[in-house]
Amino acid sequence: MTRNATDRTLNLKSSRVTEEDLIKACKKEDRQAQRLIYERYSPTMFGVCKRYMKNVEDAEDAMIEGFFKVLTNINQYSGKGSFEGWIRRIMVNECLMALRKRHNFNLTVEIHPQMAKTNLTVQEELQAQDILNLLDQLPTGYRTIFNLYVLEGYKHREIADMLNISINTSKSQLILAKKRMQTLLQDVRYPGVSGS
Amino acid sequence: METQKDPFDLFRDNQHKLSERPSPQAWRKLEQRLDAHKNRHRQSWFSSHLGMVAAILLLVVSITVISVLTNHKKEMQAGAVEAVPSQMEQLTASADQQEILKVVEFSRRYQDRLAKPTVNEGQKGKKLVPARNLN
Repeated sequence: MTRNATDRTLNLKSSRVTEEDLIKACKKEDRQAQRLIYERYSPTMFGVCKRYMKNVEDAEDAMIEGFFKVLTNINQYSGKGSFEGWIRRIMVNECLMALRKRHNFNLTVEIHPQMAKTNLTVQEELQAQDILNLLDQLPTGYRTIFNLYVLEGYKHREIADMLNISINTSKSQLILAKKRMQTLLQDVRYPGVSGS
Repeated sequence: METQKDPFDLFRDNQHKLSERPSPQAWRKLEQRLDAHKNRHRQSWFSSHLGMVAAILLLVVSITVISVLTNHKKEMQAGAVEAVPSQMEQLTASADQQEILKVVEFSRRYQDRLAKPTVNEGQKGKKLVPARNLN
């Protein structure tokens, strides 16, 4: 049985359109499919970029650059593994590239007592702005390693390779980040924060 | 008793709250970049194919020129072979010409002798006698 031309045309507006269909259409540089991919993943990826970058504008620029790479290199996506995971790795790399231009990850910044005093107020439950405010209190190195290890799930060996630092630097900066985070949460009297 | 929370777990559990739709300008910027990339991609495809066509044309022209020049050279060589005379020019003089050459040579020597005489003229009134053995 032969299918007519309208059947073969991908109806991207249909609610049944799958991720696979979108990826195939993106490989043909279909702008509508590109837009749908962007619409689907940009909120999450914007959140990822905001965790790494110090301000929203930089986060948005990194996200745009990341999506540009995703859509222009989509042929490199083999289909194995999660597509969202693939996009997220590109976003993280984009943020790291932007950070590397301005920051030397081998330098450990000591936190002075004055720096530790903040005017943070945290509600019963951490809200988006609280997370960003707390992350803002961390020096770039701590923040980046915290993001990579705690939130992305990378190993210290992988982080050391990505940031061109030693494994021990990665470990020590994570410990310092945790201590700093703990102090900040205790300062705002966040309920039930452990010291370990 | 209150459960102790790990600060890292707090972030893990709440990170999804950071998800937020970016500004509408973000898509426009991305679209502009994608358009520019598409145009550049097309241009580079065209220029690479144009280069290929130009290279093929150059090759064809070169082969034609070389073959024309080679044929011309062969024709020239063939023409040169035809221009060689069938009989060699006679460079040896005939008997009459030998006689003329002898006369010319004699007159040249005579002129030389007059210019540089080998026997000095004697004084007037003295006889020229054959030399005798004085011993």
